[in-house]
Amino acid sequence: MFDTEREIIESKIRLCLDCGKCTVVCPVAQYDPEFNPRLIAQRRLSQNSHSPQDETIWQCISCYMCVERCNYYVKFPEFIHGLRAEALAEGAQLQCTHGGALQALQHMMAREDLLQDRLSWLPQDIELSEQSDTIFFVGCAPYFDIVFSDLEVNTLKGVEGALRLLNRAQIPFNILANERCCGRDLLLQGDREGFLALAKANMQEFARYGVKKIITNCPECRYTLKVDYPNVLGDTGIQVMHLTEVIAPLVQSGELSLGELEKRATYHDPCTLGRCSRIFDEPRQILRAVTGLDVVEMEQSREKALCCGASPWVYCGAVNRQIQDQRLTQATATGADILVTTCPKCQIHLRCAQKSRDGKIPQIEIQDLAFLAARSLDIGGESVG
Amino acid sequence: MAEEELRIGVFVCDCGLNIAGSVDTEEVRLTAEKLPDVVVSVRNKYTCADPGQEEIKKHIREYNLNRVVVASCTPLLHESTFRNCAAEAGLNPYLLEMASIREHCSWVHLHDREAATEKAKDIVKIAVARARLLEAQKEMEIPVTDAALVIGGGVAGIQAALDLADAGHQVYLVEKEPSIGGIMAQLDKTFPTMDCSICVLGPKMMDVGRHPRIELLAYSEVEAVSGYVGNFKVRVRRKARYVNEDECTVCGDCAEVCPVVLPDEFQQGFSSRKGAYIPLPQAVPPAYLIDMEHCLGNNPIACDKCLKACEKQCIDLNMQDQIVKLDVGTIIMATGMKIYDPTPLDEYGYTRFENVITSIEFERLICGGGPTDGHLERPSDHQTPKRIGFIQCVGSRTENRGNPYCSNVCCMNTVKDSLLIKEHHPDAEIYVFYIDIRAFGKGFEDLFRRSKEEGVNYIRGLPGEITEDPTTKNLRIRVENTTAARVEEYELDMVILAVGLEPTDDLKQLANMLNISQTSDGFAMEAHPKLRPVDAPTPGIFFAGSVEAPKDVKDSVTQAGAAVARSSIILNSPTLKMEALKAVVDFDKCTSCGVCAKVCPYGAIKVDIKAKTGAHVVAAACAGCGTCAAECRFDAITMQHFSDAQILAQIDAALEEEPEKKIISFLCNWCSYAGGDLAGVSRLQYPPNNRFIRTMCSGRVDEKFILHAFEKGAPLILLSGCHINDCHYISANHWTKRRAEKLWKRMEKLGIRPERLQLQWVSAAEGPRFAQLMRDLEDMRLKVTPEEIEHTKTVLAEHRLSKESAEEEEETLEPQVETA
Repeated sequence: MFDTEREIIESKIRLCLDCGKCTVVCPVAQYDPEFNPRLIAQRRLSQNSHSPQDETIWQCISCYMCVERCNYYVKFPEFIHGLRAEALAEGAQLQCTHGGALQALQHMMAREDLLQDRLSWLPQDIELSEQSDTIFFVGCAPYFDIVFSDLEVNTLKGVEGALRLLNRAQIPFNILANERCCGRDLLLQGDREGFLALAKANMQEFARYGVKKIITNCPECRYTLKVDYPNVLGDTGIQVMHLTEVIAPLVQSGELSLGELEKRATYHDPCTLGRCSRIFDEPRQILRAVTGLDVVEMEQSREKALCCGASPWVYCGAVNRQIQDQRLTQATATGADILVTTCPKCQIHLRCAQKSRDGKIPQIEIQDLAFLAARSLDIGGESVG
Repeated sequence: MAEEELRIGVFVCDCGLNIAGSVDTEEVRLTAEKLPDVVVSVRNKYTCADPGQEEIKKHIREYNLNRVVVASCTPLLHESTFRNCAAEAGLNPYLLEMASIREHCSWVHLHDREAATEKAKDIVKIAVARARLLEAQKEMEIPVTDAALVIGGGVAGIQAALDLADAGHQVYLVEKEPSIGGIMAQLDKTFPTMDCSICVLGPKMMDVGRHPRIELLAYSEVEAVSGYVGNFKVRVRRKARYVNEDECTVCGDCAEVCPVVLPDEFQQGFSSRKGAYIPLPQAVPPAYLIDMEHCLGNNPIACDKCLKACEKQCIDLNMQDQIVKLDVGTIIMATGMKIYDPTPLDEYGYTRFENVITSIEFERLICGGGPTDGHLERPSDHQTPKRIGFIQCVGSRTENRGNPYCSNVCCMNTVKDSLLIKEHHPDAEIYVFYIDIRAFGKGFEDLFRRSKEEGVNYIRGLPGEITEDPTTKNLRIRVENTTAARVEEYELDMVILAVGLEPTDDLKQLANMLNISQTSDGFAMEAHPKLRPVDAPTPGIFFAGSVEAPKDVKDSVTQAGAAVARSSIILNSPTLKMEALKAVVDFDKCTSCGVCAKVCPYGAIKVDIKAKTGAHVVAAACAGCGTCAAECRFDAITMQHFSDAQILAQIDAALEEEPEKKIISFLCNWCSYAGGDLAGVSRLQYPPNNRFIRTMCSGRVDEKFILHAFEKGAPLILLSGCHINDCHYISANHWTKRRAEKLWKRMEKLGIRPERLQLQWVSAAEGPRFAQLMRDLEDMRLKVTPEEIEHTKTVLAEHRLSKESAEEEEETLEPQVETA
């Protein structure tokens, strides 16, 4: 299923012209002169038995900015993921963040005999259609809220908002009680066995309930379920959409009206939703449909959006902090009251940055788009901020 | 056809040991002698050599031969040799057939003399079967109009026009701009000589204007082209200038008084011109023109200042476009190229940052005849830039906005530009940001070296982004210096984007008019990239300059000369002989359905579907691919020299004995047959169970040949030709593919395994692939059972009989008309 030599060819890294544009636009390289995407490729391609292990492969944040500018759209992040798998196979040890809690959780979730109690947060008034072959994929949100409770990430609030919007739009869906993590983090770390275990477990659940369509609030889950699963397991026959892809057309056509919020907001494009999946307009269409909401753009937005400094729970450090600082500074510079995003990871990483360095990092309020949209209709449950 | 007694002579060649070494040529000769209608069979050591040829001629005369079969090497090598030989002996050259027992037999079956000899005997039998049905052909001679059309008046078109005219031919030079000169007229200097561009071009332009044999049609466009080589009919629209070209003295009084001010395109928009203007001072024809789109007009009278100012009274605001009809023998396309617009590359800020300009804009700024009289000034504040950067490969070598190819001239153009700046400003700090510096031509490396010696800095790396300082309008570049492996920042006063080159916008339209194709890059496609680099696949049309691919002045001029030479071969002779491989329509059978016209890659068939006057083949335009004959459902088209009867006879001969052991392969003359020849030359070995039937194009292979072969007991059939986008006849093999797909469906319905018809494309360069294919086919053949073959024969016989009786009924019904 995974064949590193073939992946290297498929990533087109051999077409690299060595022009260095990727290094210039890479946010990690901007802050760390030792990190050079072009050189990582060079080192690997000319590897022989005397070449030392390349330690820098763990710092890529998979933001796809390099792909955006590359003459041949070389799939550099996929190339890096392959290198990480190679390194792990040769005995490298992962430097996990947060004490390895997320990895532990994800590995546990892969167990076939697993029974989770993961729906207790679900409000009573959310309508589920148990016969529907469409499901809402919750992802790791329930676990994030627990692991990162000190950050008050409230990723579940975003999920709730999404569910209320879907209910309001009268789109039927079910929620599976035994979802697993989509596995993207493990895939990005190079833990392919772990990813496969989660993928297979999820596919079993989907098959058991005859799932034909998945809606999710998380761009990473969307990409993994839509692209990585078929790549590795073959055509799944399941349609996968991000919440904004479902809601935006309804808002544009007038079938769904949103409420009011007199604030200025700026939208942060998550890398996996924006550059990776080319979904830029839908989230903006939803925000513009909220009456009174003044939507402004940051200096780096859409295809050029700056990453939230995410890491798949490995090797997070000073460089990630600096990127987060830069992003939050850009957000604040727009004069916006709220930084809106539609990715739970972006929420976590930006809030984590805000809680560090004695609050010297801009403290702009961060909200999930679904949460904001739902709250504008006063159906968002407890209002925050 | 009067049937004289057939008297066939067979000449078996030993080719030294090339054939005799692995084939028993004496046995082949003996067997050939016993074939019906063969009156003499001769063996020769080297048939193509003088003694061998003399022997053929002697036998033709002594034995009164009316058909000749030479069993030797591939026809691709010596068909013309032996045709000439036969003609010298008084025999029509089209009555000669070659049997390739070398490339396709002796060389590829080196270790099985018995099998090779059996196969050679079969090959001769097949050749004799065809020879029986060959007909004498007269090569068509068409008159040639001794005149040429050159489309495009850049340096290539200018050179082509001058060379053709000097060689004594009438030339029509059509240029769509008001003046000839093209891009070269806009350059300051040319590399590597650093000649002043317009200084060297100007005299040539004047020569064009003056030459008695060149009719210059400037400000004109080709609207329609019909006809064929030697006899093209061209319709040209001469756009109204509103100024009498012949009377204008270029005094400029009209421009002085004209109130309309517009950006000057020649100066890349850096300065302005008037509504009444001349594109450049050295314009040829030397005449002003009125930009009617922006003229304030005189009906109703809004302004008539120019009319009043012109002393010679040569302005006529009521002028109309004129249509001119030309008769020419050849056409040279020299329509040039377009410069890439880098606006989509927003990371470089072109059009957002004033001081980011393109290389062509730079040419005007540094040129003495430019908007700043040659003083290098930067757009924002007209100050002299001290720190200048060049960014290479803008819009080239990329799939990410732009074009994937290398634009050829930008490296040297930048080297030249860097030296121009140093000439004016020795203290200037110049940086060239590049991936590669391609200094491949004569004198190029020298110029590059000079540039480095002058202190120009070459930094290997392309900038990821440019930002602008809002106050100073200086530019900040961030680039990875890949050689130093570090990201560097440069503050520059001006940035010049070395933009790439593209096909012109109107090339597609012109290509349609002239029936030529474009390569995947969008430039015009040549007949053969190595051996026929200036010929279009359509006879009589040639390329000069960048229409075919971006190139510099030297290569454009060289190519112009080549195009003229090729053109002259046609124009120098009052008539042109064409190989007798034409499609001939039987009007009794033709129903004017229009299918042949649709499939002809050359547009050489005209059918009036409504008037039902039959399909008319413009023989001179017919290239002989045979697709029309294969597609015609009414069998109304005969291909000269490759008739249905001949091919069916070859199939019958091949499958007469032990058909279950024979794989029938239809190979096309230009690609797959040649690929087989290469396999032979390379001595690649494969099993001897294949029998080849050559057609000019895979498009010739009618489905009835395939069904006939199956009905005769063929276990397996190969249909092979050029790779899909490389067909020698432009697009004919697309029809081959479609035909195969239809046949597969039919075979399935009839219960015949579709895999027994293989469709494989093999190019002339793919010798090993051909050999492997032959091995694979033999493996497939072994899996075909005798029962299958018998079943196929029965089913196809039934199918044919039922179709024949249905056709008899149908004859009384109105045939279906296919919509185009």
